[in-house]
Amino acid sequence: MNAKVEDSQNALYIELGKKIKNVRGTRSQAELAKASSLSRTSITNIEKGRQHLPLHTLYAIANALEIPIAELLPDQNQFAENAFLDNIPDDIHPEAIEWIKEEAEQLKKDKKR
Amino acid sequence: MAVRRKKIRRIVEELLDKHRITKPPVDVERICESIGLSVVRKNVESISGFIVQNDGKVAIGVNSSNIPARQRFTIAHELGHYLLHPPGTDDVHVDSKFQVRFRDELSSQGTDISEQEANFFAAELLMPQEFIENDLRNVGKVDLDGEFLIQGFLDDLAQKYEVSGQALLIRLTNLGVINSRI
Repeated sequence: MNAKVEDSQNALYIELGKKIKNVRGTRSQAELAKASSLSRTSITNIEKGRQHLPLHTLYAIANALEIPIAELLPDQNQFAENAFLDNIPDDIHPEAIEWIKEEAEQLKKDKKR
Repeated sequence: MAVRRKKIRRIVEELLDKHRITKPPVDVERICESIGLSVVRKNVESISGFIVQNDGKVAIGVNSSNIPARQRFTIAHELGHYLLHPPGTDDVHVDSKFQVRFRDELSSQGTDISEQEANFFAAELLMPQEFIENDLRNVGKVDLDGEFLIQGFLDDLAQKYEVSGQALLIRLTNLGVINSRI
């Protein structure tokens, strides 16, 4: 697997982990672990994006959190946008990055018209 | 994957036909406008331009501090990305309708295939082979080591096409009309 694909996959699991942690909110990892029949270590690893979990595990988590599974899945466009923002080369000037972000935001507004 | 020269030539030919462009300079901004791509300008450091796409909406950014010839090449380069490399075609696993590409020192050098393709597209569009051949018909093979006069000829030609001397030189070398001893 080339490095780019690997990065993109890792980023996807990191994004998924963030979503799960967000939805978990004030409940403890242990609580979620119990409700989804997983170990607490698994929950920690999943939330950190270190574990590439199978689909049935994702279902178990969604059920435990009592939300539709789709709500845990990173939005494709948002994911690509985040991946881009996280991977801007160092030699790009902050002003240039700001400009690109502004234009990207503008496109979203245009879409709604 | 190698640069898809044939495909790129075909796309450029269709564009020129459709917009009834028969002589230089090729009005690349008019082409963008008619396709529905907005071109925005700003004076920033570190990049010469970018293209951002989101769900079918497209904006091309150009660094206004670059000389006009370079701005034209940047626009043509980004238009090339738009036509050749739609979002979701990269070798990343996650498909998406969002994409940003920017043109900086590194991508100008064409280190990856998509950058090489965009550069090739820009050269083809701004300096179509047919136009160049027409201009060179009476000149014959130009030898860069040769006459002092040739520099003047190249300057005039670059001005006529509204491209940089460097872009013209690379184009003429690739077309095999000049000896590449620089």
